[in-house]
Amino acid sequence: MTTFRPHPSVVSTEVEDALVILHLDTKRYYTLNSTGATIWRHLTQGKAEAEIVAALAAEYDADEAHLADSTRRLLAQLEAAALIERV
Amino acid sequence: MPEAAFSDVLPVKRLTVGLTNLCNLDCDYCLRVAETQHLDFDLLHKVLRQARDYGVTAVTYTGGEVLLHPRFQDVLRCTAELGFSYSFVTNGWYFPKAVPVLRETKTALYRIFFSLDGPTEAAHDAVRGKGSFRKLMAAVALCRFYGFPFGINMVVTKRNVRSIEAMAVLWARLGADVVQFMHVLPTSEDYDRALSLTPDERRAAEQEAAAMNAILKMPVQFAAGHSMPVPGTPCVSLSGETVNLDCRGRLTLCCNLSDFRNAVGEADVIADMRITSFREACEQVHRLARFQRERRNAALAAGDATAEFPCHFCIATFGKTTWQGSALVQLGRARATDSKPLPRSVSV
Repeated sequence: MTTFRPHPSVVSTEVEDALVILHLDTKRYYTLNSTGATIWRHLTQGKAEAEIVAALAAEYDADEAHLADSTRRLLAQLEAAALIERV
Repeated sequence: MPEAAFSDVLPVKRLTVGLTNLCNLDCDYCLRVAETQHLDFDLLHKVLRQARDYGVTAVTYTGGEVLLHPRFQDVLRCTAELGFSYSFVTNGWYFPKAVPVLRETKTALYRIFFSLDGPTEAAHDAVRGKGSFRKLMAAVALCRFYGFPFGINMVVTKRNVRSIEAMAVLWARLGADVVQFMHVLPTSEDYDRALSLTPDERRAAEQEAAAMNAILKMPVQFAAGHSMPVPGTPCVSLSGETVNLDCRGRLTLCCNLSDFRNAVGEADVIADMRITSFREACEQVHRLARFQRERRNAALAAGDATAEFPCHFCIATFGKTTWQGSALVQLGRARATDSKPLPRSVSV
């Protein structure tokens, strides 16, 4: 099971139903929409990718395969931007 | 006698307000008395109405930590409703709770100033405590998201004087409107020895900031108190353009002199605003500003080296540094991270 955690140089803060992230090394700001913020929240709770997908399936009325695909894509983007790292 | 041009004062346009001297942090160099005194909201409201009628257009809130004022949100609302533009200084710890009122009053918001002690988490937290840097950075991220204009203040000490360039580059990249440096104003002999720069070091730091200012699009500057070895008007307080309301409800000459730790002299305190009109108090402030300007000009003419740095000259001449030789001084908290802790003992 793949598990990620926020990169140590990342600061995040919630805004309404979204999330703002600042990477202290790259000095870049990012925002996550509400679904992305939910994934981030699960990720910071130490959940593995499969557990995040399961949690999303319980929260959203959506096809689990679609949720798994969306989660995988977001985690890949977050990792590419060095916002998360593998545990 | 000073030249006539130096005796002119300008109309008061800005009010600085010491909203509270309570702070959740305890920076060793802080010049404020450490206690819990909040400015009475009703008195502030009255002064703001009078100030608006007098022609004041901008208000800057300082502390202490302004977000610890129990009616901070009401303060910003009434400031905006009265038509002022406003700014405030904060350490960022409680910033998220201010976001709703900042959004509500955004058209009146001129700038938020965050106080920082260095460009790295280690440097900042060594002075302000663990977690401070990340709290501030999260606040900055909120500013970026909501489009709140922000600037950075840093008090320059022996500890961080070599980080002026790094500070400027960091904040240019993070989208600050301005980076402002200030020379530390010592509140005890121990802190003066441990933290203050020599006059030569101060001038070199100012040159470094000027060099960064020439390179970057974002202004990088020293605030009032920088080297000014010639007669004239060194700051907006001595020009008469800015007056200060302290957290005890008194109009004073300058926020830098206000509630100064270990001070004895209070000649900068002009009037109790419970019983004095804003107009009358401003006239008294202007007389004092004119007097102080002429006193500094005379000191410069007499070769007094302290007059080169206006804030240092004012704290000396207004009795803020009478700790020199005093038996009792109030110190900040010693830090476990200090490589050489400041002595708690004081000379008699």
